[in-house]
Amino acid sequence: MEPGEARLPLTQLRRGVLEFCVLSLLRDEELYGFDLVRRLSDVDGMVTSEGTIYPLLSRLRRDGWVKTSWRESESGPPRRYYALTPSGRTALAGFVEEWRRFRDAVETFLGTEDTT
Amino acid sequence: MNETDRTDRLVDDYLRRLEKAAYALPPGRRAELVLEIRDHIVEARASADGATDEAWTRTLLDRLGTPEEIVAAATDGQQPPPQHQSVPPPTATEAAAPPPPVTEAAPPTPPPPPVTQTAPPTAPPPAVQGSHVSTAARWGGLEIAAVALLAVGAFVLPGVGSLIGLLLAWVSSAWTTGEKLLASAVVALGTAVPLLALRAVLSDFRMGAPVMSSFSVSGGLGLYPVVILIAGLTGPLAAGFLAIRLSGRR
Repeated sequence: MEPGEARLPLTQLRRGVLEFCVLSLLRDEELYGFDLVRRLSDVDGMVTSEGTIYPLLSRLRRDGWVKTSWRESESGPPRRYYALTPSGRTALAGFVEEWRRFRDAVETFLGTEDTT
Repeated sequence: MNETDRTDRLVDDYLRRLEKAAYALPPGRRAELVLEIRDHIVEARASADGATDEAWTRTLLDRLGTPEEIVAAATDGQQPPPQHQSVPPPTATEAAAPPPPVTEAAPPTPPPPPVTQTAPPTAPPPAVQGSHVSTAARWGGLEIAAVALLAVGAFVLPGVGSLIGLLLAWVSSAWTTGEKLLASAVVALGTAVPLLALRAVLSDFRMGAPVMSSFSVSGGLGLYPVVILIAGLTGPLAAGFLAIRLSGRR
């Protein structure tokens, strides 16, 4: 990516963090794919290509962090609902703790520089 | 070509490109991915506020990203482990998805950048932790057994084969309640028809009519092949329906 050297590392960072944002959305409720995707992409700067979330969900399922069940919908095809598993919950809790430390550490360096 | 045709064509072309790009994935996962993206488009259309015209559709597909991007996200990081390919898909899957290429073990994407960490070391081994969720999440032995018993149960284990198949289907969470009800209704029809026919023949006896009378030959025994056909076809019919519903949900 030419415009801005910061893009590429940020893309990779975002990709690594995204799955934990998915787990966070499922912390208190079960969501179906489309709903989940729209909630993520409604927040600016989180998702660049909505379609890439589906392979991510598939991976989370294979890792045993989420489980799914099919339910009928009144307005279209059956929906696959995603729910957090106990091991997904543990992984999320671990990440949240690590992330706060990491964020604070990064801010220690970046935060002092510019507030223009 | 009118507006609806044009937007449908946009979507069809997009899904076809996706299916092609996804050749590197195991067949089950490719079918699943295409189905999920298709469902996404259907859901988006259903929840759209205004007109779902050509411009709207283009925006929708832009937001999804290119098929190549989506497939790259599927092959990125973890190579599909071989055990995911060891479960043979039922025949209906092959009808829904073209046969895999010989090179399916080697996704065409470059190796992932070292920064991307898709599975932190805290991740449990899926074989242990994921075993009980996996039956709920996708199909496996239970679903294959249900479909197989429904398909051939009436011939192999007359009387109980189809019923056991149905029972397994109800235990599985891979189908919705509506789908299970429909399959059950079809099987029930296959069971009811021969019973009713038998009753008709027996009542002929009771009325004193000889079995060979023209009435029972045409009304009862004459229908025998048809009755057998209905009873024999409903099981495979239900099995085929369930297998098709399943084909994309892996």
